[in-house]
Amino acid sequence: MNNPLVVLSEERWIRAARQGDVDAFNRLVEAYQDIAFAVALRTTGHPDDAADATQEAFLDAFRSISRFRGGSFRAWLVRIVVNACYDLHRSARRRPALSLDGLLEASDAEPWTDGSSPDPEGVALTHETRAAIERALAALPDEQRLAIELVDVQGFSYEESAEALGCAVGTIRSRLARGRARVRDVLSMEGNL
Amino acid sequence: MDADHATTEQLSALIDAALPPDELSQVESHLAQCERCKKELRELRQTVALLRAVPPAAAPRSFKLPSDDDRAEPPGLERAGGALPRGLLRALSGLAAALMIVAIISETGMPGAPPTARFGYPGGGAASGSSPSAAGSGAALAPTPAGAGDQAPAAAKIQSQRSASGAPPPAGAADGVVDANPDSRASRGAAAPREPPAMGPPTSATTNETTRRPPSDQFTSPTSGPPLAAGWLAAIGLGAVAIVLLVLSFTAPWRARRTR
Repeated sequence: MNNPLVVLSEERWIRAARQGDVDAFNRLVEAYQDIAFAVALRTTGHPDDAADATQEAFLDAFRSISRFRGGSFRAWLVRIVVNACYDLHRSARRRPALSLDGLLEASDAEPWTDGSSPDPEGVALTHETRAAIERALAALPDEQRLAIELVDVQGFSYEESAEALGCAVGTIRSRLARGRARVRDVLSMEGNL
Repeated sequence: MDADHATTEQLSALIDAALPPDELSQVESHLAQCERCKKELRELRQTVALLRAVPPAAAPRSFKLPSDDDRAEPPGLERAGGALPRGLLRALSGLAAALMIVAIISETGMPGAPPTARFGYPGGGAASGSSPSAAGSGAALAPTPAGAGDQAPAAAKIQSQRSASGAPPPAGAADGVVDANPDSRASRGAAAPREPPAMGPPTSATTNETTRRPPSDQFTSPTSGPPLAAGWLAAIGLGAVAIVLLVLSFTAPWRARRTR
């Protein structure tokens, strides 16, 4: 995302979207819908709710894009997504929590057990480990789970994450540490470390 | 050294290379001699490596907004679907108001102008006590309808044009008074059921005027004279159309956004 060429064309799309250009905005949707959905899924825990919230968030983002004051667009978007999730939550349309298998299924576009992980450290997750991680994450408070999703899964910087979650950088640092420590506890208890 | 164990938060930040330099050197020198902290760092590193290996969820479908062919977007609607009809509606409203003035002028313009003007003025003055906005000031064109909004300029223009180009100056001024009063009465009558809030005080003013009017034969004649009644009906109808169009021009964008 920090590729200067990407940033340059992104700025162009944002400028056009501000003028009401839906097609330009849809370029941004294309670029960020995976992140938006992933964050929504982490927040709501349900793929249908996550999809609803993601759609709402993009509509909202288009409506209020004139209020985007530069900086990280994806951080700005994630903030809208998280708010859309909580709005959905409030509006009593909440669905029962999904089973772990459903959650695993929903977050998998492609099979992840074949070891084709893009991770530079080359860690391949077994089904067991992956399930343990999901269980541990599901048990975390929202803010810790979101910090992990943004920093560890999506590769956001602390600063971007702080912007996205509307808190201080130091807060991200401590939420992340507490969340990671809890996940570690679950994993070591189950012999995954 | 036990008192200086590294915190989980410091170790977690160390993994992300996010420790400030002073903390970093302190934690590193401690780690060199503390097995317990080394072990915790190792476990945390493994945990983070596993978390980073979690494949990010992908969108299950496209979340693109409907594009130009399907005008369902709020900004698109305001741009193309809202702004243009609004201007159009206002223009049509002004046109209807102008036609209404013409109808009134053709009905009441010529016969017995000066007497009505005399009686019209005190009535307007009394009305100004209860409702300043509807008040007739000294100027001939002042008693334009309070509820007619945008029509007022159009009416003023027509009347001033007429008084400028038509009759000689003194008669023209008198004309204006004659025209203006029935005008306000007609459009108030038409508007009253449509716009209750704006019409409250002026309506009472109208009844005031009506009770003062009986001396003037001008206002008993519409019920008796068939040609006059047709003209008044046309004027009232046009006034109603003007007001409906005006109201629509305000509500149209709102409804458009609602139907999204």
